[in-house]
Amino acid sequence: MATLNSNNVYLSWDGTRIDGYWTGEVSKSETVNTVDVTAGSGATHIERASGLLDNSLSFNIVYDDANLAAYVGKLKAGTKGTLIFGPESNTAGKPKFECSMILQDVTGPQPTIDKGMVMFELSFEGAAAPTATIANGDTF
Amino acid sequence: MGALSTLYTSVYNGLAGNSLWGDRVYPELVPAQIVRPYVVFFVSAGGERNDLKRNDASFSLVVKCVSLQMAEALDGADRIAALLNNQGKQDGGPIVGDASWVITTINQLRVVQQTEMISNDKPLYNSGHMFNVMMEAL
Repeated sequence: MATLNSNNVYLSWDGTRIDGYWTGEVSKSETVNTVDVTAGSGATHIERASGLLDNSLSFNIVYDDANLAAYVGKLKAGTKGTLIFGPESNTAGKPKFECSMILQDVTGPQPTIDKGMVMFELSFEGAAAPTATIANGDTF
Repeated sequence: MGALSTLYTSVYNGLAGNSLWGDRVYPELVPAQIVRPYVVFFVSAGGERNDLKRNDASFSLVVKCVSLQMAEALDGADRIAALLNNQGKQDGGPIVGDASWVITTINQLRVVQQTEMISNDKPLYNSGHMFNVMMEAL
């Protein structure tokens, strides 16, 4: 048993594996709005219930000059596809997140005068309930 | 082949044959009794970048021309800059690496200027530049 600190991430977007171009971090978020369900005339404290769940995910991939054509066609904002994320690769039995998502924001490429790494910053928002989640114990 | 091996071979090939220093281009140490001017280069820092899942590397490379004449050493520094700065593959230059590693960019940084005394009474001029070299494994 050990704390995970590897970068052996698996990322697939709309049928194209892209973790080979990934850099930085993967930021995955599952949120829920709360709904005020306070009732009765004598209430002294607000009562809430869970609203609708939402999933979002963002990460950066590099601009690979030799292999750009292999994945750039998938980087159109508004694309709806399946995003699969495995924090410990896609080895059988490892945790898996899979969800139909919409590519909501594509920023880049952004060359810099000091020759810094050129990247695409990608943000995804859920288009449906996930078919596999890490919290549910789903695996590859 | 490792990144450093690719870097040293590529830098040697990029510098050798110049009319000022001929093939007198040496990594890290210069053999005894070598005619001046000559060029010596070495890595002062660097290694794996860990920006990607595949291997990548960056190096701070010092390259300098050594001469008994200041003007000749400075001329050598200018030639080094012309041969290395912005000469990586993505710069559109000829210093591209090999089948194992690509040299993506070479960026000129600070000036290297150093004078030492030899034979107790003669100044020896070291003039050149530091470069930042970015590389990726193929």
